[in-house]
Amino acid sequence: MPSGLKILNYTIMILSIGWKNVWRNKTRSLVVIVAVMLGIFSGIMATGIMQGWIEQRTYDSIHNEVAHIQIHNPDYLINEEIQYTIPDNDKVNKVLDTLQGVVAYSPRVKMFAMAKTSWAVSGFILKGIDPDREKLVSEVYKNMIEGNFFEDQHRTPSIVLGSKAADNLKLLNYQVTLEKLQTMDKDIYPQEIMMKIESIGSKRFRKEKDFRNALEEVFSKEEYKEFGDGLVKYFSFYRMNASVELTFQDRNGEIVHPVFKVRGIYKTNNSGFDGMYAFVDRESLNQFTGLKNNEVHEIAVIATDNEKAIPLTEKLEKYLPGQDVMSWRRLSPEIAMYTDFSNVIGYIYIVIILFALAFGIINTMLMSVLERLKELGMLMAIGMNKKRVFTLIMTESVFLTLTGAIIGMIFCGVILAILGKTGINFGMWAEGFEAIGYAAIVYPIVTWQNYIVITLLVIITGIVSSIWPARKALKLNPVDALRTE
Amino acid sequence: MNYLKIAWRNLWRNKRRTAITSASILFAVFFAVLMRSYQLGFYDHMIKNAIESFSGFLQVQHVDFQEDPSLDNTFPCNDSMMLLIKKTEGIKAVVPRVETFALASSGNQTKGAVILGIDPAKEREFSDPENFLVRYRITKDVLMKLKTDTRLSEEIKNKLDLISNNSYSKIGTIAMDLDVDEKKYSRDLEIIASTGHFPGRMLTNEDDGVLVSDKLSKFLNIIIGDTLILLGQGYHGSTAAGIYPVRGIVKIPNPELDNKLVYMNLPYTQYFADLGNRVTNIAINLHDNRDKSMLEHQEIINNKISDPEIVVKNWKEFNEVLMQQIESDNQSGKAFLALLYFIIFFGIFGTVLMMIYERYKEFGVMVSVGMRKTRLAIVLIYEMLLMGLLGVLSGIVISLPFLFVLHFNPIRLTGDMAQVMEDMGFEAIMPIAWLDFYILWQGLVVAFMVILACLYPLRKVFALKEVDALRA
Repeated sequence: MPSGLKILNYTIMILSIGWKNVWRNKTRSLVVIVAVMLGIFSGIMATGIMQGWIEQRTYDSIHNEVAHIQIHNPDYLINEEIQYTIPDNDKVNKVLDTLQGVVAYSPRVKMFAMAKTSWAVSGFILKGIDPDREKLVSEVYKNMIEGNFFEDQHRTPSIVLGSKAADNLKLLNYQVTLEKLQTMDKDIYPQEIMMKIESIGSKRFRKEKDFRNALEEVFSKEEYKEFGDGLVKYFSFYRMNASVELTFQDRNGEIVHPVFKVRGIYKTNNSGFDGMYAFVDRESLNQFTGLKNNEVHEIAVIATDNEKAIPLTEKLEKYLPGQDVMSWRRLSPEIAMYTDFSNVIGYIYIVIILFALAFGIINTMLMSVLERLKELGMLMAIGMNKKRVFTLIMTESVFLTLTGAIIGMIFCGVILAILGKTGINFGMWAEGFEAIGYAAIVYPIVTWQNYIVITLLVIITGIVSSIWPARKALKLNPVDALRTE
Repeated sequence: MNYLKIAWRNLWRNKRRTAITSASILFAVFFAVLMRSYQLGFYDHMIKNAIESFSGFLQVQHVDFQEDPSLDNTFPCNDSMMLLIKKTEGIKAVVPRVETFALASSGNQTKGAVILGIDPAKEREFSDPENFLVRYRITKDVLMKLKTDTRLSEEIKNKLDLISNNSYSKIGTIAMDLDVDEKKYSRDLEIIASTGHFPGRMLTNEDDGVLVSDKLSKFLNIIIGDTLILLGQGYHGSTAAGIYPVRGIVKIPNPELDNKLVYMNLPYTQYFADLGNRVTNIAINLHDNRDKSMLEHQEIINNKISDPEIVVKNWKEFNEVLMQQIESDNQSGKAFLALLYFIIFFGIFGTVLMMIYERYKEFGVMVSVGMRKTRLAIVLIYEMLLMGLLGVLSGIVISLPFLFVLHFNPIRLTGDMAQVMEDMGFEAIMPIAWLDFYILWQGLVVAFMVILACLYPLRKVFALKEVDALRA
């Protein structure tokens, strides 16, 4: 027989004997298989949830907040003073227009402003943007919850606020409108709840507390407990067209107080961002700042993807001496760190789980070897060499772990396919998550690389935990082993 | 008959089996203890940073303040109210505060600022701004001088750019930024400190001046003795304006606050915002910060004040964000440990299975010669519990030195990780909690698992048929 075929023959033999041996004591094997299955299942789940979050945070951070690359006048970054606009803006534009890899870029005027409505005062950073170009760079316009992102023409200039900033300015009101009453979901709210809510009338409430008081008056305690929060949310709305008086310094250091009207509210997953940034049209803002059309503070650039943005940054640095060019890795270091570590942390989880599993596997394999001493001795006596005995035991151990792992992975794959669409809702901690920019609903992500690495880790665990039991078998003296009971 | 003795001897009849099972429990306990200690230590660190040294565990507020934090939702605070709170048992520190927003300008620069009206003497026991007072500043001039200073060692000179344009409250922080040993280079550090010395003092109780946070002061380009113009809105929409001399610069660890904080004497803030004797909150720290004591004190003080306009809130209520962050992290940590223990449970169960199989004949003999099955069961339970105990105790014993070392020498983070922590306003260390009740929990969980794993063999023992068992 040719030697290649021989090896193949032996391999098949060992594999089939190994597989059969796994099922000789079903209960014992199943205990390990189930343990491995659950361990792998939860390990992948945890990794998937974490990666889902990091992916979402990275996407939001780049596509809503910082973009891939930002260009500034270096002096502007020290104190963000209005006069430090980008020098030689026309040349920068020319470079950006011609450079390959630049998908879109948006010029921005950026400054701190105090905002005042009739009810409250707050402060935020004002971004003066060209709406059409900004839409190519940031997706804030996709996150509008009321009004729109500079789509209509108005005589008084428009401002788009984040939901948090609008809350701070007391623009969130509560009113039982006819329109909202009619569109209420009849499956959730019973008829009598609707009747009662209708009795509140169309009075407008400026404070959540007052609206809650009104609800408490018409509802019984149980009803309020069950429906209160939902109704408060349902009947809340942001006051559109409210005037906001902004206060900031113009180019000459004079304080100006222009009035803008709220025409849109956006809400991202990051409540910090929502409270921090407001958008206005650059042209209307410049009427008050005294800046010329080619004077901007910041140019945000979008590249083809996150990775290609890094070499593009280096290129831009070369072409634009005297400007400060920053990539997203420098603009939001925490995102850079999380993307670097997300895989590692997931694998650490799994390694810890596998380590814990290894004890169980060692135990089971030892038991299986010890109860078969006589049989193994017999095999060796009739000519099976030690190497093959060793391989056999290792194969059994790997089969044991791999079976559990594969079932776990299939199970996980199915559940993740569903959860990847529906998401997992951590609504009870929404505020805490959103304060640091993470969505309350997470869509877990597991890549095929994850599965491959995990499979490899599982096989390694199987091999490592079979070493001790296999050594036991190797030390066997066939003659003695045959004599054991 | 001494069950314990028999169980103990049985355990050592098969050393290997005992060792594997105990080792798996040891690993789980060791890991669980370390992980929990890190988590709890980190929560303590966050709470210390954000709550204890700033907002207080309890705050007296106007009923509507949380929902609408404007100056209109303030309440009058007089000496009798302060005394009332102060006299409550278990109170460590009480400070009245006014917090408001204003535009701060100097020369041509203007920026939004948070004005914090404090009582300097009382605040010493609380956030103590004096700790943050900038005493050394490495400006360009200072850097030039240092670079040409012949007394300074070359090694330090090469590193000077690391601290360029920074402000410091302590020499130790300079040493840390330079990445050198404080004791070894004490002479060089002394020279840097004296060259970069920055004047400035804490507010006194009658002071009409202000303390300005470091970054804000750099933005406004002001130093000690300059004046700061504040413009804002006061009580009931009145206009608030004033000019204040700068007495000191403070370096606040939280970079966001460092951008906008101005400390002012409480009476001057009240005058500035036309508040009379009103304050936005009274912050309270307790001797015993645990939840139970906190809620008790909240209730007591609430009853003492008994004003429908005023409430006492605990930090979990007024800082819901931090509470939820801690809570969600806490739950995910617990879930991971539950999973780990679950896996260990399967390991224990495997051992039990193996043991039953190996000793089935022995059990048969024992029952045949007259041992009652209940007694056999008790011995088995003892065996399993001893094994669990062995694992738990050795796990705890092994983790103790780690806890000890890491608790007193917490790991100091560097690089990106440190930056992220500092951006969130926390000192970049990984503190670890000292021993607490949570360690007992590990023991309880393991004991529970062991008993659960015993159910199967017990059933086997009770269903044992002597004749079959003897033949096994």
